[in-house]
Amino acid sequence: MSVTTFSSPALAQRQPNWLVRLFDYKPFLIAMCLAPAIGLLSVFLTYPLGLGIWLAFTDTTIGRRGIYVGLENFQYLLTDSLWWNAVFYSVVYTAIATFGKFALGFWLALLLNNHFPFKSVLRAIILLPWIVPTVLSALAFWWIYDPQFSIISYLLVDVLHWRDSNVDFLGSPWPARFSLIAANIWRGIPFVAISLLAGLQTISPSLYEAAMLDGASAWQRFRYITFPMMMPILAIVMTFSIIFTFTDFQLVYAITRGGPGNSTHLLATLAFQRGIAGGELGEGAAIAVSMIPFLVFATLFSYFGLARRKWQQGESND
Amino acid sequence: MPEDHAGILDLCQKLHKAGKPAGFALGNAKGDGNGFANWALWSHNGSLLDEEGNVVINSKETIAALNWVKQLYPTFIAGTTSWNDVSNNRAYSSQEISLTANGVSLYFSLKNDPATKAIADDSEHQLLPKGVAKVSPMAGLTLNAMVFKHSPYPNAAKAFLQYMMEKDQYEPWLNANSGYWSQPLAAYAEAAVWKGDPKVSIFKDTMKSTYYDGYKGPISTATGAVSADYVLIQMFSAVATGAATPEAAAAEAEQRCKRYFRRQNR
Repeated sequence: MSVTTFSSPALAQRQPNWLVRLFDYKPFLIAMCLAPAIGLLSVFLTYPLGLGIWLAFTDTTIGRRGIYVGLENFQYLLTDSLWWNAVFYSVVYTAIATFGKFALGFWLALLLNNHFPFKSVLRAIILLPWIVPTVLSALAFWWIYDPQFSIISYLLVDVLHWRDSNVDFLGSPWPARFSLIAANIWRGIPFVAISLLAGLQTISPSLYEAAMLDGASAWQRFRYITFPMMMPILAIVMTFSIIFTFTDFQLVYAITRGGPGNSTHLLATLAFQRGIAGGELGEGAAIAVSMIPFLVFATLFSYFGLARRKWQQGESND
Repeated sequence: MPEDHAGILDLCQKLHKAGKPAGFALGNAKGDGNGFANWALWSHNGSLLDEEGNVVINSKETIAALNWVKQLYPTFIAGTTSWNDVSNNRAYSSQEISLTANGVSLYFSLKNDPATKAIADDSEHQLLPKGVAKVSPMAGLTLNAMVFKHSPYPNAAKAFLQYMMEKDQYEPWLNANSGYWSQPLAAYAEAAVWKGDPKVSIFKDTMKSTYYDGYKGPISTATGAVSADYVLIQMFSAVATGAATPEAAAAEAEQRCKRYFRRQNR
């Protein structure tokens, strides 16, 4: 008797309802857990990217549906001196700014890796240029570079009397290009410095001790210990940095809008200028799509050029 | 202010020598940059389009305008190729320049600030010089209103616009903008705003101008694209700074304009 009274609730527990059984079914669970991520990715990543690439093959303008025109947009860009100009400046901008950011950022990381008072506070302050919204720092640089009211011109002309005329930061092509590169380096240093600092702290002090016992100089310790040990993180940070710099938009658009003339247009600002201001959505999309080969090349270069060193596969692997 | 090109050049050279140069926006400035470029073009009887809407920017009138601006540019204050729409206001307000082209808004911002009221009192307005054109070649500013084709209540929207154009509504509105734009309906020329300050009343008839953005062709979206993409400003600034010859700059502008008109007016 007692067996039957006990077994019926136990039986009900062992045979749960259909909902519980569904959630215990593994394929269903996998689909459920992946759905939000896949949904987000396809709505916010795949769809816009696909739409952008599709637009590049149409003559869509703002307010009018386009028709498929094949490679017409790209053929036009190849004959367009302004597009070539933007390609040229994008490459120059990325190359010089990345070099500057890494040289100064690495140096800063080495300095910050030392022991000194208020270390953590200083490290937090270093991050500020990167934390401040770019448009805000761009506006500050816009004032610094102003042809009439630049603080630098004011110091040089009215305070120190070193010059007779204001500095021409943004009025001619090459000064404008380098002014923007300087602003980009200023903004990019913290990201590089903090990322490399994290890498520096993973290097075991025993390596340095061993090197010092062998009588290695400071330069030799940097060249044969710090630098090789930093290679993997350098490769990753550089890949990110190149992508951020090549696709930069805010600094250039807020400071020069591509001027003087069209000399400081990056591909991203030219794409916006043509696609939104000029209304040629198709052509703007084509300019944006034309960035993809450069980015793929830059990524592969960083990855294969920097990351695949023999130390990663062991000393014996030449 | 002289009405002929040689006279304007002479004036600007003298201002430059006196240390109070002229300054006109040659940077990527939607309003003031296009205003200056259009004026330089129109005052030489050049135009972007002919009456049928064909792109005729690559003309001998344009070349003449480009050559004239090339002579004029060295008399400007430094940095005008990087100017945007507020730069000339700031340079004028700080008395770095003594001559510029701007809407009446600059005058009011000077006049309403006690610190700069003296500059406003010392300022004089004039319609843009004619050059070889018959009337002052400047496009009038007015307020546009439009109703979407897909509006569910088109008649209500039209009735509202009509109501806003009636005297009780429109005249206070016109007075409140202090002469920045002018009326499309002739009777509002009697509004109070045109009877007060004589420095403002000269703008009373600017809507009677025969010039407009995209003169002298039909108005279209491509006209707006050409001005939003700074095509004409960049043509002038390239020649002014010596980056391109007048012929090359005009040919490039023609290529860019033709593409906009071919693609957007299909």
